[in-house]
Amino acid sequence: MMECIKAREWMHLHMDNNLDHSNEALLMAHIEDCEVCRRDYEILMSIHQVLQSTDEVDLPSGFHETLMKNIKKRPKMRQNYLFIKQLNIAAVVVFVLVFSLIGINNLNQNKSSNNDEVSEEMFSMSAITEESGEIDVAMDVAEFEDASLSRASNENERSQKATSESLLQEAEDQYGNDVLGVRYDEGWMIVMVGGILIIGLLIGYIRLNL
Amino acid sequence: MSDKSEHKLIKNAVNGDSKAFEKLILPYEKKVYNIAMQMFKNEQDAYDASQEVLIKVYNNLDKFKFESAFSTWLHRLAMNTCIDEYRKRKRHMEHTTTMEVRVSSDEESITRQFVDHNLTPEQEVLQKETVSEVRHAMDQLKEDQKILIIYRDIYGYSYDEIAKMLECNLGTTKSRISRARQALKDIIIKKREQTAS
Repeated sequence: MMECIKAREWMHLHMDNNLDHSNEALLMAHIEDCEVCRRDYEILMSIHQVLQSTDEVDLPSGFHETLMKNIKKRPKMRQNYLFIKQLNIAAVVVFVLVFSLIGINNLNQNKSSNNDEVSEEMFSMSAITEESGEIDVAMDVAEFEDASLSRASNENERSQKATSESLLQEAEDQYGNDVLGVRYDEGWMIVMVGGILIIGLLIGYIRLNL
Repeated sequence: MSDKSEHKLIKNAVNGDSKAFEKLILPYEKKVYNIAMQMFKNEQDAYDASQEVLIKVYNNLDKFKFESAFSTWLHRLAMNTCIDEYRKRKRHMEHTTTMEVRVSSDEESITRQFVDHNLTPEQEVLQKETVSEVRHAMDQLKEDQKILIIYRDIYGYSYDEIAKMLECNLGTTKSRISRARQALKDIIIKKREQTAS
């Protein structure tokens, strides 16, 4: 004997013409015997018949014309959207260019000025060292006439070396530390700020989906 | 209309060609209006809702990704818009009686829509009663169940098509439609029991 739950499931298949003949016979036999399922089946079939016999109604007059009138009011809006979209892309490109140029320009200026300053200092230091070297040669020629003079000269050399090291350290402190061979100076700061702004704009643009 | 020519019309319409949009939408207008008519049961609301659906189609056409059939995408919009508009009107109806008046004024035309004209006068009277019973039960269904009955049992869309519109699997779609039918049947049984007592 078929269960009522199965019968209800098959009623829907029957409504959709998806129930095979053998199961259809089983369902009908169950409906004959079960009063509740018979009532359900009759109601479902009457609903089905009513719904299936629904006629389509014609469109009210002027429906299409009203629709097209409403739509034709909108192309301007669509063009505006396109214009805003293009404007947004142009703004992003301009930002990229401007910030890259400013950044690169600043980088080059700082690098060249750093090199100039450091090389000038190095040049003056080497001149001092050369001078002390000449003094040494003169002392050799005089066959160490005065040993106390020689000691004084060595002390002078050591103090000059210390001065050059402290000057190099000072230059490094002034122009920042080397990280991956790139200095964090003004140029890179501008590039970084510009980059953050551009990423922000891009995210905003994607989210707006203009 | 072939898929290829439909796709061409969509692309042209997206680029602002309103004539292309007109050609594209014309075959669907009557169907959308009829679905809205079944949903709202009055001409004014059906008119407004179907216009709303078709305007939404125009405004969102650039979001159509050609991953499904255009008709599926359009009916998904129609389903969602009809449900939203129905909810809005239902909320509004709770405060006013306007909808009730409108529904009763259109009742005759809706009943005429359902009735089979090849019946004897007695059968016609009986069927009018059944039609009225089913119609009132439909009005009491939840909006998401109502739209499923409209698509499946009134307009005969396949389970597969409805599943694509709903963006859910076939099994879920079948069980949702079965539940909607069961709910419709239960409303009728309840009504009959109330009348009998």
